[in-house]
Amino acid sequence: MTAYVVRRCGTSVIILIGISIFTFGLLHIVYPSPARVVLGPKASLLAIAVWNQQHGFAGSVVTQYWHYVDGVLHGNFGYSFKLNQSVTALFNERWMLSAYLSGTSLVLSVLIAIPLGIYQAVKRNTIGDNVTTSLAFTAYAMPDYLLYLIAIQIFALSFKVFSYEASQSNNLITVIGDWRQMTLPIICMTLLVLAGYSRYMRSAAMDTLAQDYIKVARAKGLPERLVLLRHLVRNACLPMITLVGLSIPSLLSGNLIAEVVFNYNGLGLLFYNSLQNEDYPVLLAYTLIGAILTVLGNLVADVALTVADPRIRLA
Amino acid sequence: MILIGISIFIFVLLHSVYPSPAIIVLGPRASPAAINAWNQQHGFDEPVIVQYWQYMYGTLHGNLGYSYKLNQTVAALFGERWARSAYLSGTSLVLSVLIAIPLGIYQAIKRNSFGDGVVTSVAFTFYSMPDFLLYLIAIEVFALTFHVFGFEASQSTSLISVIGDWRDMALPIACITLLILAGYSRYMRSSAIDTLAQDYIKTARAKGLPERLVLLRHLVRNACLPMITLVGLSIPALLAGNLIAETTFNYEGLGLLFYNSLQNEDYPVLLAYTLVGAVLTVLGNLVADIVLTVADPRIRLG
Repeated sequence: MTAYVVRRCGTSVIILIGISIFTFGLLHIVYPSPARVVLGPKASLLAIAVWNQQHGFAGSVVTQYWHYVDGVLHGNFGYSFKLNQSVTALFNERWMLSAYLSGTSLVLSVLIAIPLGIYQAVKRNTIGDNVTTSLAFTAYAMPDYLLYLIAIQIFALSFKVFSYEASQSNNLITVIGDWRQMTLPIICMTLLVLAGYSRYMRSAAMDTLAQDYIKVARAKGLPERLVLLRHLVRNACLPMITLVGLSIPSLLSGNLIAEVVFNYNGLGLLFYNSLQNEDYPVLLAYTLIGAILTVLGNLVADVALTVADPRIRLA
Repeated sequence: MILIGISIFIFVLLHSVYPSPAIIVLGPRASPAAINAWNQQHGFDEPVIVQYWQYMYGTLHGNLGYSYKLNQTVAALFGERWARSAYLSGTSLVLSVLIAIPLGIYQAIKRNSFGDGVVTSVAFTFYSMPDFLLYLIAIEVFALTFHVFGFEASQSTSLISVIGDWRDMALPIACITLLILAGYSRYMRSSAIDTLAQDYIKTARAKGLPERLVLLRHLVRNACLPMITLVGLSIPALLAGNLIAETTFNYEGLGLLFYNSLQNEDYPVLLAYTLVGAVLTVLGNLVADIVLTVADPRIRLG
């Protein structure tokens, strides 16, 4: 087991090195030097060359890549010359807000998707299953901003139950306290994530229901409640572990649209504003962090799966 | 059954955010009496059930509603544009599947090798990169810096000339393909690894079948089965992905229409698009299930 985890971590490190080379390559091609941004569009070529020399942008690509990796390993993700702040400081102020929004929606979706999917699989092709399926397909096929706009129109403008904006505070405690502001974004994101998850859970539960061990459990006279709880739930949840691990980048980019529509000051809104400003260091740091989270999510999901499912051979 | 459910949900949403187009047609200064009269004339004062019935009746006859903002029927708006969107998504989807299958199998066979590591890194980077960032970088590099391709998609409204404008279409198609491929190649890799561990592969090798035939006859066929479901389920994601690509590359398809309707709060268009997306999702699911039972005789039709 330990050997497997160590080997798996080793592979992840190699993949992370590949990702850093790739991200650096992209950054270097579209944004070889911030000199133009700092010195202004009228700067002479000489001044730009001098500035590049002073700030280490004149070295060979390999040297520059080395500086970049050295910085990233020390928590320095680059410097946004447009906002005149380090990317790390910008991310530090905001990541908790984004993590709260995505984390709450993700946990809620998983908590609802598991019983819902099992209910749909057990009662498949009944009215209840069909109603839930219709709702899930509608939410699944609806572009996310349309759902946000409809929710704002109905619950904030027509009925004034919730606020049309997310909380504007920068302090996580206050944000959690502002539940009337946070309800709409969290519910909408939960619905969208849930729409996909419940479908996967339904098909996983249906596959599990067809297995022989469920028949055995029923044949030996186990009450249906225990068949479902002990045998069905545990086995049907296994694919969910991989799914949650793989959905971290889509959560990040889903966040982006939710944060822009609800004007919530998290990483997504920062990314959106950087996109308008062509602030490449921020954009590529966001991509790098997204890629790192994807690799970590994969790693954690694989390790969790081997813990949860002893049948998996650690080859 | 599910389609009826979806149509009810979408109608209710449309009805609650947009009960009547009277204000738009008559202008913001119209008197309540005039609005009532207009609603009466056009059937917007009937009970909800009657209105739903009319909506369903229209939808079944290919009438998806009327955009009072653009003064055209939604069906006409969609009719002009769907072929272009289908061309963009269809080409990218086919290319992704054609590349993902050999790529995933290569990665599974040579897993944890240098080549697998490189492909995995590239796939993870694209998988976690928000799509519009990739489009902007591609435009910056290939259109503005090197002038190889056009920075805009083809502006022609005829499908034939769009296909002919390959320099304008190369960037959007390549970008969408890369983004889809990033996810598909991962699924294909893990499905091929699962298949490689099966007993029938061992049997095929043990009976002395050349490795090439083991891969072609036993591995490819079995490892591709999960791809069928995946492609069926990715149709709405394709539609939504199209939207951002079409907006960035200014391509006159359904996605750009949706984007503009969003700016105009043109709800009949928005909800017709959602309805079409949901219908396509249901159809994609259905076709994938049927194809799967044809491709995999082990599936019992229980």
